[in-house]
Amino acid sequence: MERRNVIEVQDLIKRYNGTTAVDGISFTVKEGEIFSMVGPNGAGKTTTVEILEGLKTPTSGHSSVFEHDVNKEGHKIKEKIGVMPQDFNTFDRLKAKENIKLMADLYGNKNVEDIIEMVGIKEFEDKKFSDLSGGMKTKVGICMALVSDADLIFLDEPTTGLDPHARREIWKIIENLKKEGKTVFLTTHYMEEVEKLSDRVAMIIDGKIKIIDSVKNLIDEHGGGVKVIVDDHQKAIELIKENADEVFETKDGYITGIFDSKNEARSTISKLFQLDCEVEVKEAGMEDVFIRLTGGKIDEEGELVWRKYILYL
Amino acid sequence: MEKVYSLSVALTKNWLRSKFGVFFSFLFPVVLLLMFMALFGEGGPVEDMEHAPIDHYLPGLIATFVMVNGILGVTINITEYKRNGTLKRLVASPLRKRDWVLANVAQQTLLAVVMTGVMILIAIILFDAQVHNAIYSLAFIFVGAIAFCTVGMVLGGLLKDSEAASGVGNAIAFPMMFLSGAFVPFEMMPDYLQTVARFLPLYYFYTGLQEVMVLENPGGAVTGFLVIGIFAIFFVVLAITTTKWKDM
Repeated sequence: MERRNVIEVQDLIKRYNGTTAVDGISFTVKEGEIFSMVGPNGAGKTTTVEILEGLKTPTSGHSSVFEHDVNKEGHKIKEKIGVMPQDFNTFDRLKAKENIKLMADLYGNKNVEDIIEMVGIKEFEDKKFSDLSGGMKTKVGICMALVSDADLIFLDEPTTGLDPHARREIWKIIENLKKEGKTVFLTTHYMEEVEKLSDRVAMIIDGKIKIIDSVKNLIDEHGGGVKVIVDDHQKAIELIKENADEVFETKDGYITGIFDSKNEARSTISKLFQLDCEVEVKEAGMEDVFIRLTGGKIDEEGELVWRKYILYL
Repeated sequence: MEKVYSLSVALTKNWLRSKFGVFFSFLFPVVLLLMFMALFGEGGPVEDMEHAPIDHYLPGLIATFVMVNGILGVTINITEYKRNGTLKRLVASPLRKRDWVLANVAQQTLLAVVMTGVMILIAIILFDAQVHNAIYSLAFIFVGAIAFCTVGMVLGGLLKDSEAASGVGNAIAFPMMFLSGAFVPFEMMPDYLQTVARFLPLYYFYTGLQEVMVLENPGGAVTGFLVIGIFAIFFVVLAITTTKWKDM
């Protein structure tokens, strides 16, 4: 059964004095999925999200959330969504729980304890918000998004600036949201995050969507196959040369074979494992997809680095 | 109304827990009072045989404090919520713009009245100030606090950052302070400035308060009360209509 669209965006354009932040994008988000918008800083992710949340007025185009027009029924939308804005902040000197309770009051919801339990912030619920670490603040922000009791949650770069451990914790929470049947609209510039969480991905750059598809389809079609790397072993090199679609030697003497077909790669790998040699298999990931489609890579800070400046691909 | 209440409580707690902020907020009216008494305690530029200097100056000091607190304090406070992202999260919730304005006005007015109360108490204890018509005076201070806090809400709702807020706030608050007659005796000002003063809300607040508190002439404060009351209503409406709730 085809799931219904909770968000529909058509030809959305947003211009700020002279610059075009969002340049005619169209997409839909389906009920129950984790939809990611990935792109470098300034690509238009936050502008798009904030238009859908009713925080910004679009220049043109038609957008709706739960069939409510963002231009006309912003207030109805706000009641039906949960939001964590980019660079999320709240009352500094209120305790974590006080902030969550305030938000619950604004949504007319009484159920705070379950959410605190689920997100796992019980141990620091009585700490002042300003005394919390980045990861803890993000968790409070997620609680404040969830007290809306909404079926659609917007998380705008929830893991930016967090350490790997905190990032993984947030991923777990987001995965749980999906299990509870919530639809999640996520923005990020971390490819690993996209791969780990999303059902479908929109790649956005310079205000335009390059491509939208499921993670699996994107990697299969644009990832560039499987890389098999072996050390200096005569038999292994022969096997690679016979079966791979492309073979090259890396600087440190390793031989890399690229397989367009996964099945071909699989049978070669099983043969290689019977030999006494080092084998490394690298599956293509979203990063490869992004590089192939945009010609660039997003660094840790979210800035776009063009391919010609990338030293090691 | 429930939302306004919850938000007012949150705003108040958040304010009260800034020890530094609370200390200096209470210090300001007290220092203002002590400074004035040190300067003019033995008699100021105006010959007022009937009233002690403290009684003569207290209404002006109260009015000035309430005005500065509203136009500078509230404005900076609001722009700070805007800058640090707290407001954005609230705007993304179902909270109405109207409720945001009302919650802030409620909280700020209450604080202004409490701080004024402390100032009056110190004036009574240290300088034996005579405060007449206590209830009427309190009501008048209350309405004045609403009026000037909403001016702060209008400015805070329109301005982007606290730099702009303190610039614009100062530009309005200080000329008004000197022109209204609250500090500089009205009689010493040239005619055209006296005319200007009559267009300033602070003039009505200060003179009305003087009539009630010092001159024991509540009837003389009716005009002032009406002007400040209308001013308060006008600025509440203006704050609700002009506050930016989108595209900030």
